[in-house]
Formats: sequence, C-alpha cells, structure tokens
Amino acid sequence: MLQDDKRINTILEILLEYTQKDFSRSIPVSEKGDDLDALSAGLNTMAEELQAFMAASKKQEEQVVERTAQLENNIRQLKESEEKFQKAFQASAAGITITRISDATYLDVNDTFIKMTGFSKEELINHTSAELGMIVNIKKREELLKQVRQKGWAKNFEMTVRHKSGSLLDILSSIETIVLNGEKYAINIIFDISGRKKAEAQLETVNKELEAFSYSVSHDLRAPLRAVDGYAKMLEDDYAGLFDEEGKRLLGIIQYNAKKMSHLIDDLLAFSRLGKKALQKTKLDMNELIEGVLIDLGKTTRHKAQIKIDRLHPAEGDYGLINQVLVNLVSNGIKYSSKKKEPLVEISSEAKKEEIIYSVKDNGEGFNMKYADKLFGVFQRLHTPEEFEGTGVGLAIVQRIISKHGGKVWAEAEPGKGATFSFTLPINQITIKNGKHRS
Amino acid sequence: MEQQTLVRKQLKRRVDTPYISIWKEEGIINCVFTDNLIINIETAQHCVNERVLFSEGQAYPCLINLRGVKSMNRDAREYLATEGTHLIKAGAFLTSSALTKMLGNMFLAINKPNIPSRLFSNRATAIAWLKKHQ
Repeated sequence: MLQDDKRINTILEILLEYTQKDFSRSIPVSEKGDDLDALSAGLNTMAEELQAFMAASKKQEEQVVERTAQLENNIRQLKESEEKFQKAFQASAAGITITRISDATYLDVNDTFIKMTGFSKEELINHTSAELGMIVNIKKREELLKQVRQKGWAKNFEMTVRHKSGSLLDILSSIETIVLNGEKYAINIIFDISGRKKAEAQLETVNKELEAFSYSVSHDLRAPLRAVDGYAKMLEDDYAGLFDEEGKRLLGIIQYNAKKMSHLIDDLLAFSRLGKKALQKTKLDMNELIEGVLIDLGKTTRHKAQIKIDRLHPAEGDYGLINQVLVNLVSNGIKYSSKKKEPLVEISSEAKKEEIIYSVKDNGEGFNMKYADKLFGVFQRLHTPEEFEGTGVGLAIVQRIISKHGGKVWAEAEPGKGATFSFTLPINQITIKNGKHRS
Repeated sequence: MEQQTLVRKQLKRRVDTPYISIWKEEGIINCVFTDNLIINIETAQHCVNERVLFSEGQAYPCLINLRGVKSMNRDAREYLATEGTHLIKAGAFLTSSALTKMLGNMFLAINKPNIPSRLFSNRATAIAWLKKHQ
C-alpha cells in the first residue's frame, strides 16, 4: 500500500510537470501491469499525443502567421499597384479610358480625356462614344473594334473624333484588353495628334512649294547656261585660231564651268523631281540591279577599284530610284577610294527582323564622324572639288529616296581608313520568304 | 542472415527472436511479444519484418498477444497501425492485464489500424473472430 502511494505521488509529480508543458519524463511502468501501470501507460500515451498535437499546432500557427504576412504583403503590393495605376491614369498626358467591351460604355476616364473631348466625367461614364456623337467615321471605328475583338489589342490607330463643341480632333489610339471580375474591358490610350497633323500638312505644302521653286529655278537656269556653252563652243570652232594661249585657256575654263553647272542643274532637277514622283514599288532582285549598276558605271567611269559583292537579299521598292541609290553610293565608293593603291568597294546586305540593311563600304579617304550629320544635306561636301569632284547632291538624293521608301541612311567612317554607307529597306512577307533561302 | 532465412524456411513452424515469437496455427499467425518489452520504432520494425518473412507473401489473420508489452511509444504505434499491417487480414489483440488492456485500447482508439482490429481478453473468442477473416 505504501508502495502504491509512492507510485501515485510520482504520477502526480510528473503530471504537474506536464501541466507546465515539460514532457521530458515518462511515468514509470512497473512489471506488475496493474491498474496503476495501466493508468501510467494511458497517461504516457496521452502526454505523447498532446506533445505531438502541440507541435503540430505550433507549426500550423507558424504557417498561419507566415500566410497572414504573405497576404498582408500581397494586399499592400496590390494597394501600391492600384495607387500607382491611379496616379499614372490621372497624371498621364495621354487620354485614358476604360470601356466595357460588351456594350462599349465608359467605365472610367482620366482628366486628360475629359479635357480632350470637352465632355464631363458624368456625361461620359456609362455612355458610349457613339451615343455622345464623338464618332466621325463609323467604318473606321468598326475596323478598330473588330481588331480589338479578334486580337485583343490595337496599336497606333489613327482616327478622327468629334469634340463636344463640334470641332474635329485627330487622335492616335492604342488599346489593350483586360478582364475584371470575369468581364472584358478595353484600356484605350489616346493622344491628340491634331497639332502634329496640322504641322505635317503645313510641312507638306511648304515642301511642295520649295520643290516647285527649285524645279523652276533649275529649269530656268538651263536656257542661259545653254547659251553660254553654245557661244563658247562657237568661239572655239570659229575663232580658236585668233586666240593666243591665254585666250584658249580662259575659253576652256568657261566651257569646263558651264559643264559643271549643267551637272549641278541636272542633279538639282533630279532631286526636286523626287519629291513629286510617286513610288512604283516592285519586287527587286538586288543582285541583278547591282550588276546593271556596275556595267553602267564601267562604261562611264574609268577606275581600278576591286568590287566585291555578297549575295544580296531581295527587296521591294521603286526600280529606278533604288538603282539611283546604288549608282550614287557605289560611284562615291569608287571616287573616294580612287587615290588608294588598292581601292576596294564591298557591297553586302543583312536581313533583320523588320528591315534589310544594304551597305557599301570603301577603303578610301573616309571622314571625321563629327561631320557625319552634314553628309546628307544638299550642296554639303566634306572635300574640296580639287580633292574629289562632285556637286554635293548625290547623298541628299540617296537620303530622299530611302526616306520615301520608309528606310534610313547612315554612314560610318574614319579619316584615311574608308567609309561605310548603309541604308535600310522595310521588309515585307515576300521579301522575308525570298530572302531566307538567299541569305 | 541468409543462413537464418534458410533455417526459418526449413523449420517454418516457429520463429523466436529476442522480441517476438511467431508461429502458425489453424491458418492463423500467432505473435507473442517477450516479457517486459518496450516497443519503440526499431523493435516494431524488427517484429513486423519477422512476421512478414514468416508469412512468405501470404496474408493471414493475426493473433497478437500483448501480454509481455510494458510500453509502446508514439512512433511505434503509428508504424504498427500503418506499414506494420502488411500481410495481416485482421488483427486480434489479446490482453491479460490492466496495463496491456490500456495499451491496446489506446492503440486502437488513437492510431486506428487500417485493418479490422479488435481487443480480446479471451484467446478462444479471439480465434473465433479471426476465423471469420480467413
């Protein structure tokens, strides 16, 4: 009995430890296997389970804390993102609208759009642009909506819309679609390009006037020049015997300068005609084109330059104009490398994602890159006529032709080491297809 | 070890290890733990391994005599209630003292073995129940 009391005391003592979450000791079980042992075993099992439960609870608690922190972080990021969007939405210099795609009603509009259209926010929200009479060209709007429905986006779509006052605005619209609560919405970013359009129209008028002026000036200069050249020729034919050596030399100078001015007028006329000429684009076999150019140059220019040609990618462009570009660039290469011991001109092409780059490289005189921006201006020359002949119009013609084709022209050079003139022509599907097997 | 297996196969009728005795009787596998056995995960794995080898790939009803068991820890209980039931069709746990009854009850109530299991204090009743699961 005394022994049992002692066992009970031990059990109570350890149970007290358990209440303090101290499970380091198990209740001893004797060899008797009696009721007290059964109780001890039961308590030991319960203590083990309690310990496991507490450990699992603690782990769960930690997971809850971690998950809560994650959620709080997500909410904070979401709030920040929403705030950023709201600020960008309101502060944007572009008009921004959010419209429900199903019925085209405005869900939200920013201040710039309100100013742009003249309608108040209340007038715009829950209404469509058609209801407000903003649409000028219904066909164009349908075209835009069709693209948005099919592709989910539209980029740089030019349209004309009507201001509340009735005046017309030229806009540039880009649309992306988003899904909010299961419904599709369009975010439309709109720029007012009325000013730009007006400036473009003015520029076009000015350019046309300028072209007309330079054409008539060049044309009108021809008649007196022809007279100077003609009379000089008559003098040479009929009165050469009466001239002494100095007289003959002066007559020669008159003839040389008349010829030079004739070239200058030819170039100027060609340059001004470019502005008027509409492009007649066809598929161009650039290899054939360059071969023709070299044959023609061989007939008119005596040179000793070695000309290396890569297999060139085909292009699309105006045959006559692109031919002119190649003539100008290759003849420049030949001209500026003519003073080298072993002049070399290399012609190559490289296909990029949206364009093909054609390059004409020479090992000639080159130039300092700080004058590169002057190269393509009319009458701009980096060398004196004594060094290299020329009118200073060739590269201006190249730039105008390439620009008309939607491409770019640039040059890279180093004094004494040569120059590379490159131009791009935009790629289209036919060009890509044909270019691949040729490259 | 290979030799032990060979001997076991030759004798077949009974296996005795420091922790458990195993034999087959009337299509029932009998397991008796040795006296004052403290069952931890290692002991449990040993006993299950021996029984599985003895069963030679066939499942049997099993009479498990808890008589000698003094304690069984949580890891051991969890193992015996899950992986430890391999090749057991049904388990009858025979108890003989208040302690083993408590251990058995705790095992069944807390760990809920994944085979039909019951606690018995009478061997004949236990065998009669196991025969229903042959």
